[in-house]
Amino acid sequence: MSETAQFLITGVVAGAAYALLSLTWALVRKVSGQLFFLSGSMVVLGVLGTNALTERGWPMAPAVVVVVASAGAVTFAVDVLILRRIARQTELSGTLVMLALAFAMDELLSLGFGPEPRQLAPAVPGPPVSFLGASLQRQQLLIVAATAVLITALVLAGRSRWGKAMRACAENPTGAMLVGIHPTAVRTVGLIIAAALGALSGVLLGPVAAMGASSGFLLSLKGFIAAALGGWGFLGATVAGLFLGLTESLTAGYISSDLKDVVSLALLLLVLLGKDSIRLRRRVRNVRVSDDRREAPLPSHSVTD
Amino acid sequence: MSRIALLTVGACVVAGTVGCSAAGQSSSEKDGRTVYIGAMFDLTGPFAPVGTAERQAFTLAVAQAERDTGIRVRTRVEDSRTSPDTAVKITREFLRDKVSAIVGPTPTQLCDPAHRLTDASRTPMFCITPFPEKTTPSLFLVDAPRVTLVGDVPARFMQKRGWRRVACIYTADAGGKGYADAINQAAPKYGLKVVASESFQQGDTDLTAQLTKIRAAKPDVVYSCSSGANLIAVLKGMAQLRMAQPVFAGHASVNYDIAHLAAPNLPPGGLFSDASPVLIPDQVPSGMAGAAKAKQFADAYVKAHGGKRPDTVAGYVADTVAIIAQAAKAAGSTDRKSLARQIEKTCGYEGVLGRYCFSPANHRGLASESNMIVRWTPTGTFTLTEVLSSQNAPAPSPSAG
Amino acid sequence: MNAPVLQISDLVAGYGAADVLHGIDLHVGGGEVVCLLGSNGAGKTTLARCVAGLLKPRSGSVTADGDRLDGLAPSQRVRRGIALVPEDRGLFGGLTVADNLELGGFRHGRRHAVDRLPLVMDIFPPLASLLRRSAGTLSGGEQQMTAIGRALMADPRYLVLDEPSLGLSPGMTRQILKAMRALADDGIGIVLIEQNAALALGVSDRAAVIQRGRIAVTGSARTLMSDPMVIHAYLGGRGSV
Repeated sequence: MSETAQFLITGVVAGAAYALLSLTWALVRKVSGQLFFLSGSMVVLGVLGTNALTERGWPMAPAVVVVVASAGAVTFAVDVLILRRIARQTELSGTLVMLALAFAMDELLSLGFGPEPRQLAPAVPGPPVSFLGASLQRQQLLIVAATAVLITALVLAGRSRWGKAMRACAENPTGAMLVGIHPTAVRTVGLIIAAALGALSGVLLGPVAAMGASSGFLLSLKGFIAAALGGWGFLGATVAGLFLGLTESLTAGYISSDLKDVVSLALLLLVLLGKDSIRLRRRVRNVRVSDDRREAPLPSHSVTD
Repeated sequence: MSRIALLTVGACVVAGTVGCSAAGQSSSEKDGRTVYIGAMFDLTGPFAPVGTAERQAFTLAVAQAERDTGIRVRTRVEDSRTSPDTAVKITREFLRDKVSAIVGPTPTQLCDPAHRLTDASRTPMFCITPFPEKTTPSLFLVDAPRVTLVGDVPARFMQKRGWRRVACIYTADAGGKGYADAINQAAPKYGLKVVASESFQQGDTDLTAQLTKIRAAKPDVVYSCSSGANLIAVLKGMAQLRMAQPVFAGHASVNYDIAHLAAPNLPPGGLFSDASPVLIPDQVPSGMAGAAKAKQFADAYVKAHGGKRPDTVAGYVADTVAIIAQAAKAAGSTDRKSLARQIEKTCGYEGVLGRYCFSPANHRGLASESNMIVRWTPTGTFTLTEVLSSQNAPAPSPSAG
Repeated sequence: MNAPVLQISDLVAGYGAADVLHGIDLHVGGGEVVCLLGSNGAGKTTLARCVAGLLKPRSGSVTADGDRLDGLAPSQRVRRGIALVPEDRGLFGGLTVADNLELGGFRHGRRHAVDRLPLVMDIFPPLASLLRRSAGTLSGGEQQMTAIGRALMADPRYLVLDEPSLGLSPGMTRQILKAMRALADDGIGIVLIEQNAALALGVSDRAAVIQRGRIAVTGSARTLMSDPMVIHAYLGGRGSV
């Protein structure tokens, strides 16, 4: 009986981690339409950088601040030196550039920090806690809480004036220019925030999972799957992440642990093959969670969750 | 300091490494005094931590071999990227370049396709892995067969401790399945039962679902049938689920980097693994084969790498290079076929892992004499806790940890 | 010269190797509606983009109230009182009408937006019931009203509209053009770029025809309405409105 509880709680925690990883993808997609393949590298940078500093005696808080700031600075440099110079002629060329940058960044991390995996000390030390018949690490509770806070903050920020300005840039850069918003500056700010969030995610996840330079790409992919499945909105990505986490956990628990990853990849295939068939919508005040850049009236689809 | 070393290694890899190898340039290998070794290590990809350590050991081993034998060693080092295709491509290049012998690759899934090429051209290849079941005329391995090393040894220890019910959590790839097969074969021989067997993907960090099922099967010991940092995921998951059982670490997880990561995550029942002389040179009983060489190599390694200690994999590389150089010296020629034949005649050579005896029938070389079992400590090191003697004679061992 | 005027002088502009505009002279004063006619490819949109700052001209100048706009980005031109409603309207489809309008006043701060909104509602009453609708779900006419409304939120002195009647019914077009006339009467200078000459000329003070990058004919709207070439090319052969 407590096994079911354990599978469910594990699924929720895994889902929160998925959601955390997907937030940076959703943010960059909203702000500039780009695919943020660098997200995994930023997460890994968060772990490796914080670990490097704390092993030299730095206290946790300043180490995290420095690492998060570095992630932002590195991404700013990448944007100014590379991304801005490459005319985004097609979505494909932009995607390829992002992919190449992600691989290059992983290599640099390996050269700079070494390929060995590292972990972080838990922010909240202590034995695991019991919750509804399941056992959780304290850090995992922190992850779930932090994810909830971040999502709320992002959704609220998206509804603020600046948030709307950022979304406008992704919708229609020319239109944005005509009302006085600088799409280039907005894109850069979006990337920097996403990078910082990625590094912060690394600091949160580091105590739970040892990570090395080669972990980056897989983490990116998980974020991509959750964000794509959720229609690129913050709330959608969260629900999708939870769905993925629970499905994986229950599959591993009740069917077979061999099939765990097959499930999430199959779901991604579903998304790619039928983009319109799985979409999240919220009808509250016509706020649309999913991102849609068509200007023609929408066909009416049934709501699925 | 180590960061600078790493960056230098990285730069060398990028630049193509021939200029960085300790041997440097030398004349053609036909003079019998220069043996040309092609080496491939996984410097990128999931096996990168292993490959980088191997690369460091290789440089040192080449320098030592030249000193010991007077033979010049010319080397070419490539990155096999934990990719079977890359390994095959590199093997082809090495063969075209007419190397005398090949060191590497390491993962099972790379060794399999690569050694088929070397078999065809009769070039000796030393895969740095114990996993291929059968050796072929050109394939040499420097360790005991899989079932022995990762099946019998753990099983014997578990039997000695009275841990009858064994749970195996393995990575769903060739390496992990190799471990699982090995323990499945060995368990009945020692009166053990594998009560649970769960798989996970390489790199997965959340194993609570699998461990929950394992916990329900009430094992006496959990065998981490995986390599590298996967062990850490097992330990963390067990801690979360409050599982107190002892854990036996997979052979390919046994190194000081992983020990450092494992130190804060040790299970109450203890974390154990096999150990080679080169891993614990200060604790090896003095009569044991390999003790002296191991100490010498470990000291040189620590000095050359700023305090970093070598592990068993470094030992594989060191002994492999030494055996190739010794064979070249004894054969008086560095032609590949004579080299292979000479290696087959090498018996009695004492390396850092023990005493080797090759023969045409035995390409594995390492006579399985004693096997040391260590307990992992909260300070990131290993303490010798048991010596399993193959003759069942009482072996010198401190009290069980 | 103190009268407010948007002056385009000898403007040469193009994309890549070729020039599209070969020296355009045009001006619109505050309170005037100037209609710019021309067929596809004549250079109308190129001219609009130059005025808005989306395209840098090769030579010539655009001046607003005596100040040259050379090198100013679109956002800075918004501050100087120039607003463009592009051909595709440039709306933010995923945002609501209210959001689109609010963003129109982005450069001027929140309070300004709050003040301007009622004015825009007066000019386009139907927008009041559409505020919560997503801009991507609007009909053509509703989108056009939103786009113009958004431009008005920045309190412009000069408004350039690129083909506002595109895709609209004649009834809708008349409504929009009537609103433009009202705006001009309030003092805004309007450049109306159109293919649909009949209705546009009816609300314009002056007009010009642009052909292959040059101004071919210019004069009062009434004069052009009876010009045979204009009648033939843009009024369907008849001089009726």
